[in-house]
Amino acid sequence: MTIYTTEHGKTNDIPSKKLKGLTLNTLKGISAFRKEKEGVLEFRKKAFDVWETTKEPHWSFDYTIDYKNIYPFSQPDGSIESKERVEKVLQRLNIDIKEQKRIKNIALDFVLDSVSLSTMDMELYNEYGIIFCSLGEALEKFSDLVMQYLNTVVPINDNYFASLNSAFFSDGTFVYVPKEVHCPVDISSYFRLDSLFASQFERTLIIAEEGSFLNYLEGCSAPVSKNNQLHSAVVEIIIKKNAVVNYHTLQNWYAGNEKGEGGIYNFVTKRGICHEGAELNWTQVELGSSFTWKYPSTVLLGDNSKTTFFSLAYTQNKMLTDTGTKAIHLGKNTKSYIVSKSIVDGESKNTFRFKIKVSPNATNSSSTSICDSLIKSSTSQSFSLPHFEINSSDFKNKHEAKTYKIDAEILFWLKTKGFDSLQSDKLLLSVFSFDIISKLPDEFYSEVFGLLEMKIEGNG
Amino acid sequence: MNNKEIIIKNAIVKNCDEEILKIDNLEFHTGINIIVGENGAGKSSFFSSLFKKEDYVLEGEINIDNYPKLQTFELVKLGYYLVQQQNMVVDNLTYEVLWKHMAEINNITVNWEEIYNFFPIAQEKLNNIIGTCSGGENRIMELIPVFILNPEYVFLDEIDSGLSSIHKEQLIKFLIHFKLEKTFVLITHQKEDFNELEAQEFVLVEGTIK
Repeated sequence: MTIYTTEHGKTNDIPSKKLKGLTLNTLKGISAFRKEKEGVLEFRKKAFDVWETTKEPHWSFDYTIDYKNIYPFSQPDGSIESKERVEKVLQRLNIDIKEQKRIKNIALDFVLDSVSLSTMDMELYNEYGIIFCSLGEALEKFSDLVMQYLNTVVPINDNYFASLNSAFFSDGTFVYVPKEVHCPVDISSYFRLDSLFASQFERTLIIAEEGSFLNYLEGCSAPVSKNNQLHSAVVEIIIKKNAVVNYHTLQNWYAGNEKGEGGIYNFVTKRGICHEGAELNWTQVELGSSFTWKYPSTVLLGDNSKTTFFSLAYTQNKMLTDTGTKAIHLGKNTKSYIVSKSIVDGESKNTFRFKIKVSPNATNSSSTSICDSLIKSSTSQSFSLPHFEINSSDFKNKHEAKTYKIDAEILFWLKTKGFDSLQSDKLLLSVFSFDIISKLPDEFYSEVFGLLEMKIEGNG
Repeated sequence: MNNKEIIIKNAIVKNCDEEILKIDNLEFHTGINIIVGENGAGKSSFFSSLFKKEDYVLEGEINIDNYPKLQTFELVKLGYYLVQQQNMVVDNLTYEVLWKHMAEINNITVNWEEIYNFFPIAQEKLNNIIGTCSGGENRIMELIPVFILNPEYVFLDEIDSGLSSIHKEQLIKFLIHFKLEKTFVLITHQKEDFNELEAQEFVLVEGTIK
């Protein structure tokens, strides 16, 4: 799998069955189409009621979504032409689901618009008891297990877009790692929004049982379009006692053009709960989307649990990115470690906001947060907004924030070493980002550097 | 010995449109060329203008083809290399990353063993962040690109200033090693340090290099 080439920016115009409008009828249609059990439909209806009575948020930037004309469901229609075009998508993205696992040791779930093209990995299931499949397949085959955990980390009334997702969710990934099992391969999801008119409401649920280990990677892409499209995902992660989940994201949705036309509205809710001694490590690389709201969060419920959050955001043109994280310290001896790096260029604006909330019970706990911003153009803006709510007297809290500009003296010094302006930018931005990118698995590492270079060149 | 000359005639150096230096006739030949003069006389400005630093201009007759249209990095590709007096610190950038990028962008295959043998410090401090060695070490590290880029003309702005005797010895060893094949132009306040190198001396007096 390559994360991004210019081929990713092209739509493949796949003949599809589509459902239009965010209405109760559409919702019922999605559920019927997916042949869902009654309990799932009820869950959707309940979420729809909540969504209808919740106010659309507009607190950090303004946008317009025409909900009546959204296509929340789009699936290749099964015709010969659609099958050929799906093959073309896979070729363009350089994806071969079976070879991926054999050569790179990555098991892949590929979600195209609203549906997963992959089926459950029987090898992982038979040998290790690991369930890795689309959420739709999991709801069909492991309904009780899914319904036991769905909605327990991100409730349907959590926020406007979480309610919307709960009502209209389509395929995402389901992962279940049994007790004491170390997943022998990296698990990966690739979300492709290929239709120029569809929205994507992916939903992912990960359960890591006691003492288990999982390395999870997700990537995404969408074609160039003058339309704004909505991507509203919910990710729930449950990490039981002494289990570890590493969750890596490379977000590269289409970001709109230099005039700010088109691009994906990326409004995402991601959250994990860590039980005793559990660990959740987030690595988030945000390179796309015209508007982003995303705050992957960790609830440190159990004693001795910990979380790390490494984030890199690169914004250009007129992108607006409001991202960050939350660490909720509830257990004793809990630790959070947050490192954010942002690079702003063009007329873009990046806000990194994070919240450290500490309960009185979270004794002997600590948090470190580091936020670095690099301002590349005089018309771009970068903000770091920390929020601390500390109710434990012995909590150790360390925070630092720095803002940089690329120094003219350093640029001249690099020129005297033979670097032109673009080569200087690439070098300086790469080393600035290195602390974050180096946290990514090998499979992503070099591709992210390549992608970052394409963005700097203006070809991303 | 190849004679590699830089000839600058009837030239002026400007900083932010203000004339700060005149050059009547300047000829640097292969080997060691030393420029001396009072502080603030414009010696460093001359180097900055020659390498086209922002706000600095060098106008006149210069024997570099198409000089007015060249950019700094193009001068480097033509064989001109500058070591500035100022110490740079660049967060996260190690010498190893910098040097490998320099080799890569210039399509150069580097003989690293030769460098490490000549300056063992280059290997010892390879993973240091640029500019975070001691003052003298930083200056020696700035000489390493001469091995990588193999320039014909090397401009050294007070590189000997504040060097310990050990580092000064290394600098002299470096200059002796290359003096028959390259043209060095040094700004210094301690010309006696270079007596053994048979240097050609230029004096900056009252705004003119003579």
